[in-house]
Amino acid sequence: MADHSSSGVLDAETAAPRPRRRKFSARTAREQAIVIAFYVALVVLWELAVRAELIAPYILPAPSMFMAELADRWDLYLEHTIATTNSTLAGFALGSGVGFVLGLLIAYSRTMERIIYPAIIFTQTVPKLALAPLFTVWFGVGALPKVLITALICLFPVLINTVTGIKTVDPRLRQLMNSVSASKWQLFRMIELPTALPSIFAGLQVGVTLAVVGALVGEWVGADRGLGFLILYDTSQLRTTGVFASLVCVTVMGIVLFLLVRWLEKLLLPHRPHAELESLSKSGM
Amino acid sequence: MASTETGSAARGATQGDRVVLEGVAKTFRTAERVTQAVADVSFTAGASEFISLIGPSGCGKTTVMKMVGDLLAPTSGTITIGGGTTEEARRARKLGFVFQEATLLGWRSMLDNVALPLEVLGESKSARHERARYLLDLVGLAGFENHYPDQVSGGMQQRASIARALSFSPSVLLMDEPFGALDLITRDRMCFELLRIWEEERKTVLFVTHSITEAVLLSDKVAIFSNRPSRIREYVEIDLPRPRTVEMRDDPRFHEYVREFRAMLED
Repeated sequence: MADHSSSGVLDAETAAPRPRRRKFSARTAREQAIVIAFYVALVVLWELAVRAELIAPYILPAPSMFMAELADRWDLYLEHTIATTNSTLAGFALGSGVGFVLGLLIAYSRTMERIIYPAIIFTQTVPKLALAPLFTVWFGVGALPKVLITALICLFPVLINTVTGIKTVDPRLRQLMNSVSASKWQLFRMIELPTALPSIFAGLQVGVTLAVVGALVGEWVGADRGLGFLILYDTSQLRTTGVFASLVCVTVMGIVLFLLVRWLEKLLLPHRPHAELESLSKSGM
Repeated sequence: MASTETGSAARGATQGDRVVLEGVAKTFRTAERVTQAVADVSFTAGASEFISLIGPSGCGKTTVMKMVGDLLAPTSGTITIGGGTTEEARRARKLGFVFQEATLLGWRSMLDNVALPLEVLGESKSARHERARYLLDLVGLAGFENHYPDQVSGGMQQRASIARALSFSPSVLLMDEPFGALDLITRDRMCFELLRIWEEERKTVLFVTHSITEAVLLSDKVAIFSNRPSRIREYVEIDLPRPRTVEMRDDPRFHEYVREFRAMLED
């Protein structure tokens, strides 16, 4: 073999080291401290405003009030949070699964594209809120209508992102695969699906936040449990403190689910740098 | 077929195949209009010869490359590769592609990027990794096997894409402006790297470029294209000794070729 390492050709082309992790400098630490301080101050002000009776607790309860409510009746909130989480997850799984499969059909078949798209656009244009009462008529009060509403809401982002993801495959890569007579399955497994995955995950992130909304809406129109049900019930009793306690649960649940999807993405796609890092390394070249 | 044995990583010096184009023409028809992209192109690339295609932008060089690569069928005329049709050549895995961008897969290591075609062909992990290691070494990327494409420079990515094209030992290498996206200094280095690789793996190379000096430096023959619809204006043999060196660019004969080609392209 030729000794080409000594020819010096590589010298000017050394690998650009990519910042693996963002460095936390003293400056960003100070900026973060300011942000945290701002929100802490806001909460303290809120608390003081209620205690000083500037705001009536039934309009806006103090943070300490609904946190105490949560601590006191944690078993009740836990039970309803679990119910909502279950229907959110079931609906999310169903909606994303169907969205992914329909996305594949659309991406691979022009006929399917023509058949599916009008139906999708129709279901996306009809406000899902308006469909929710109808679903309780069709499927009764219980888990099923909630799951279906949720699924319908989060189907769309996953579907669209699956289609775009697959269509962004570089035609030259298809050409390359063609030069070794790759099968359609190989093309899908080795090129198309991995190319589409970041886009699909972006759809899943949108989908999971929408799924929480879907589950709540489902619980508003007909359910005997869940945070949506609890919020509605407490509102009718003017138990604003309870409503806020439920809101805390919904928010925490939504954040946890969102982070779970992101964590899953990082776990499954370890070598896709975030968009910001990617642009950084490109501009540095 | 050539690549059924998976013996040593260095699969011998596969000889290049002869590529013959005779009266090749291509007309694109859409509902609104008929565009003639290629009017009449004939030239012969001898086995293991390095041929550059040069001409004005949009003159149909890429269309010609696509026809040789069995991606487009000519409207008329014939193309033979090693005596067979382009389709036979593709099915026999005689065609390797290098594009303007490296088009590596970001989620695969350099090693697995180079080994991708062999994975498609169903070769065992150890066999394809052995071959990919050999090729990465050949293109000067030994030690970068486990890097990911975004961790190396553009020039290094392009080297890996050349290694990938060589992985299944094609006899013809189709390179469509492979250094077009690189900066000038890297580009210059890559030319000599390519020549060195070509000395080791004697493929027939069809090389599309916009750079006259690049064409003169690299090629055995240069096909100068006319404006669209393209014809071969001139098919010139470059009579400079091999191996080509950096100093050769100061040779008066080198400048003579460059001047001559520039004049042809300008009028």
